[in-house]
Amino acid sequence: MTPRPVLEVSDLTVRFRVGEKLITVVDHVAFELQSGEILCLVGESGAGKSTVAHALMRLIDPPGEIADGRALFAGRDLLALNEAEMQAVRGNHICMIFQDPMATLNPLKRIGEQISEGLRLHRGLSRAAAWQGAVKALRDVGIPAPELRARDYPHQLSGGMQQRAIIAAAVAMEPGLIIADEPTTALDATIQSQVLDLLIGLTRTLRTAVILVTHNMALVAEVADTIGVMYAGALVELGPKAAVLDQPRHPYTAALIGSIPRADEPERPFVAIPGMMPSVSALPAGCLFHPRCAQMVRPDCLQRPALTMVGQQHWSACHFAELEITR
Amino acid sequence: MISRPILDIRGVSKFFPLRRSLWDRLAPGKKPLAVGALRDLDFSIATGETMAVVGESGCGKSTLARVVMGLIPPSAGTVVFEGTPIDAAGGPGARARRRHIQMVFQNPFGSLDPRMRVHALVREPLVIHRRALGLSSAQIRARVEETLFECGLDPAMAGRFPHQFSGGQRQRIAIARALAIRPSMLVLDEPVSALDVSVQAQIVNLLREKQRDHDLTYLFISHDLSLVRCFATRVVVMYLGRVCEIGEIADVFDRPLHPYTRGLLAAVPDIRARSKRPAAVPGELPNPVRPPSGCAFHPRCPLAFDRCRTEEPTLTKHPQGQLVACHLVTTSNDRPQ
Repeated sequence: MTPRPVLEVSDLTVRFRVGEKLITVVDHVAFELQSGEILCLVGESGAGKSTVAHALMRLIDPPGEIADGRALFAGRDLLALNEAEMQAVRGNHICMIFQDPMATLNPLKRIGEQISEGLRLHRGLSRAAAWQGAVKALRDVGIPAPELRARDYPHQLSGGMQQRAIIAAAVAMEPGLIIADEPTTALDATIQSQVLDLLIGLTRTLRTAVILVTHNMALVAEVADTIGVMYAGALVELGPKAAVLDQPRHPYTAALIGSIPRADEPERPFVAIPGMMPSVSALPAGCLFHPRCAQMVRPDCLQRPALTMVGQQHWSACHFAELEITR
Repeated sequence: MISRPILDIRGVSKFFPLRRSLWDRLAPGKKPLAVGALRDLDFSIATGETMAVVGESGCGKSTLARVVMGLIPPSAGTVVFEGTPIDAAGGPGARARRRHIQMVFQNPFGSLDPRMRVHALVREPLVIHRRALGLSSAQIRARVEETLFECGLDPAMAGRFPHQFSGGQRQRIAIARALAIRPSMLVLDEPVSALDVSVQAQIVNLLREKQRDHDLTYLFISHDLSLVRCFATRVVVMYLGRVCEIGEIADVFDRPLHPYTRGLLAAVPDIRARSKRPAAVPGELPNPVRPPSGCAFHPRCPLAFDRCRTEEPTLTKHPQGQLVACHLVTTSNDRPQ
């Protein structure tokens, strides 16, 4: 029997009001997450992956709104909590890590104070105890001389160190879920690798569930347990890493993998996906991918396919998911 | 590949002096500080090849592009283009040179004037070089249309503004703008980094096709090593303004010699991997104002020994083919284990 998931998302729908029109940017997204599991949400810009992350943190501001759905976290529906209740969850049981550390950290406060804040607010620790907790957290993320660094202001740290400090602040709370939105995209390759090692190592130890939003398919291949592929606001494929990468069951996933330059096949021509992802304000009828699909498009494709099970824990939103995908 | 070099970079260094406080300027014996963005670069690019420059931020990739374009003068050394030394920025030869070398920037949202229509954007370089090219107005009009078509843009859309296009199409406009005057070389500074992968492939294919059609030479600056492996013929690996390793793409990527090259290659996520490979290069980039003694990479190098701390290694030809600046490799003449 599988244990109860940490997070159960169903029918998550986010809409934006633009003038008279309501535009759906996240359309009935559903997934589950077990403790200690790393779910990578991948897709191109505008696919809605960051919006899912923000919606779960209830960070959607007008003119956007969460129009539908449930997100059960520890038995409570995050989407039904009032702002005060959500405040008690945010940064406590669910922590978020953003792409740009300089935009996350307050430039006028010392690093130690910023990490202490969560411990004081949510754990009721005294100023001194929280400071000690912050120093310990900085030590845990491998920052040298943590007592001194805690007294630094953000600008005194490098980008990699800033992101480590933010991870320290998140992990110090021992949350049940960490949502990381492109956490290493702004960092150089060698630093990206270090920071990912850290994030994965700590969350594995604490059995924290992680939702990692990224556009980098190769990074997903290395860190994910489960992959969710998003396209134009919809989740089009969801499944265990090996299954999704080795036997993708949605033509978009297959095309996305095919368009990545591969160092092991330098002579292979780049397989571009023709056209571009439709804007969420002008979605095609039926299957969202059919205008760009390399498979034979059939009349069924003019009906919107639902996410259906195609294998063990593996779902695809394609009418012909059981057919061989030609490349 | 034995071919005539189109571009020769001879002993090029670039220092950016730091602003000093009045106190420091008055104090006797205080030397002015400078960031060494490029340190004694020496290599040439052959006609028709794609030379990639890789390295992390701060390694000097973009400074190199700017020096090659003549946008900033080098502090020492010369860049020779087709046998003629490139003058400092704005010199009399600058315009003539830019007829032959053009640049494509990373961000097509920033590199295209939002108030110019597409045809005006592509026409601008033709008008600037009109006399040298000897084109009539009618010929310019025809060239604009032809270039747009060649770059996969519908000439019927030439009356639109850049904001009416997607990122990929905007990069096509930027490439059309660079190619309109039929240059022999393009400096490509992260030309696809701002684009989504599915669109990246379209632009890379376009660049490959144009290279074949016009026998173009590319200086290709990128941090995407997988793309570099597929796109370039040779590669320069830079660290803190210095060249670590330079050689044929297959030699450097399949049999890297310098510990930094190997660490960098190991740090790039690999679609074939199914678990995270541990970070191979510890630590962070040192302060470029006070670079480490000896080999610039030694504080982060897992294989550093005494000599690395005191003596700067020089680029030396390795029997395997590439040039490498590492004491361990050159003394043992073997791959470090």
